[in-house]
Amino acid sequence: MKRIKLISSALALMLAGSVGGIMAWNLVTATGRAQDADDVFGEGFDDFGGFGGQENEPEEPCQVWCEVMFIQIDTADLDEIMARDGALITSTGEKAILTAQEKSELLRLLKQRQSFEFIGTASVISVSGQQALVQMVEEIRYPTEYDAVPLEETVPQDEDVVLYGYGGPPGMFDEREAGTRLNVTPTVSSKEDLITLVILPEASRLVGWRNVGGMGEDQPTFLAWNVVTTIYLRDATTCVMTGALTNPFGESAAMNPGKPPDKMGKKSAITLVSARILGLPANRAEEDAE
Amino acid sequence: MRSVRDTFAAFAFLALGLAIAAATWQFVTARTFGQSSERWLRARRELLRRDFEGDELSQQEKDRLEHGWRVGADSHDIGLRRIWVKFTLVALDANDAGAVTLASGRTVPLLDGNAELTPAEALELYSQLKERKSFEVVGSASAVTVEYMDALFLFVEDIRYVTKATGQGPPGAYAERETGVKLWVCAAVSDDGAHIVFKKLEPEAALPAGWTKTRETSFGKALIAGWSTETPLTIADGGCVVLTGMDPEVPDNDSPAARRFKGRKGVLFLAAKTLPTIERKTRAPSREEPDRERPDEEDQTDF
Repeated sequence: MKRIKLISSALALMLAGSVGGIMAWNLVTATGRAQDADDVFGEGFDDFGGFGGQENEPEEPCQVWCEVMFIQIDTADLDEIMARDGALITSTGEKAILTAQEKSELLRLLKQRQSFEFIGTASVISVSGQQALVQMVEEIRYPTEYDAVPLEETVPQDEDVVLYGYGGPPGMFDEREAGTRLNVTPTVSSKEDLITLVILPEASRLVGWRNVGGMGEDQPTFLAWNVVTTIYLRDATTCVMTGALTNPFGESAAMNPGKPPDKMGKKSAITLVSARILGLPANRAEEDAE
Repeated sequence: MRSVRDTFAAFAFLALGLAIAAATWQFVTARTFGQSSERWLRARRELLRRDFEGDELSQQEKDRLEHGWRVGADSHDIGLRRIWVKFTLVALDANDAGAVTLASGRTVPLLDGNAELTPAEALELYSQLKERKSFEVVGSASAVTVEYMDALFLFVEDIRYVTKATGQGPPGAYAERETGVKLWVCAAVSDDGAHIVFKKLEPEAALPAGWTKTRETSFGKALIAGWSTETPLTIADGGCVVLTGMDPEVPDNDSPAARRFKGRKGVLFLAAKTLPTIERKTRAPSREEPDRERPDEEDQTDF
């Protein structure tokens, strides 16, 4: 009888332990989750399907290194590289993503050409999920509007009518940043092997000031290389995007109206976007070594 | 002595109970969280799809879509595929734009109509056009994006021009126009996975072509000469669509660009494909073992 009593006490204790444990755990996790959900999604998130989003983020926030390179090269040189040096960069999509080694090899081949030109490059490190911005720019101001002033010499006999012209000083200015800018939000996936990039890199350059008529100040002319996209990459890989135009910017018809078209070069723009996760065990050793 | 032993046993049973509770809870929550995660991802994908198809989203749904990206629900987990898009614009003299007959016996007219080609056919067409005397590649651009997301590739020169030019003295105000190569895309993979459906596909290749002259000033609005189109079409995954007989936008002036493109016909090659799916790794990557993505050996397009 005593033994039965002992066993039932033990079972009761075990049951009490289980119930107590579950209740305590439930309380702790529910509080944390509700707080997280409210912080991130606001009220009503549960209607949307629960806490799946939490699982998309790695347990420890990691950092991501992102880099963009804007390159310009004569299209003839690029065509030759494509024809002679295999499929490192092709006009088809299968090499839109390069490994680290392939990127190095591509850069080596491009740099050998005289027409190779780095338009701009920028890199930045950001915590996963956080937007980062890095820019190396020159601020260029220029007048955009002139104050209207009465043109006395054109005032007619009827003094009630006064003609206005734009002969006054500049009334408004605008500002543009010329240089390289990288705006990126990298997000590392839950398994820590893929990076989603919402990326807006830009390179721009002031190529000159041009009189666009009248007696106003000359107006600036900019060249711009922009990409706006969302991509995901495996760690330490590079996305390639290209463009080409049969017109050398800066020597365009607009800048040199008398220049015959057949003397114009053909330029290609290559944009390389790379990303690498920092802080993974495999990378830590390399970082230490560096 | 016996009471000590009983107390010890009671604690042991209590600990055992806690251990069982923890294990049970872990099992249950893993399942529940997994399911809710799946549900959440499906819901996000559904919202993206509806937005892509032009459904009116409520403000709450828009906020959820926006917030989800901010906290890092990455596109791969949602199951979005990567899409590569490229356009190449070729110009030919109208009298040099006769139809092309491919080795397969298929005839592609160059002055009217569109053709859906395989990569091999597109390559063959491009090679044949290259042989023509008036063949010229005006511009090309490629971009990579993920489903439902807009991508924009620009390689441009900003031309400023006068927008307010009255009376004497300096112009009143200016505006800007971009010339060069542009590619704006937004696409998704069809339900059967065989086609890429474009919501937005706007390729442009144009050059500056002078200014409109105004009464008071020697310059006016900046003009461009070249080709641009907006064509929300569908392309087979890995395939190519050729738009032919496109007339350029050419101003009526004597600028080099206008002289160059006047009377010419544009042939627009549009290619699209999904990039290889990335298989999940089970361990951290290392530089010694490069991350190779599955190459698509069947692809033969080269233009």
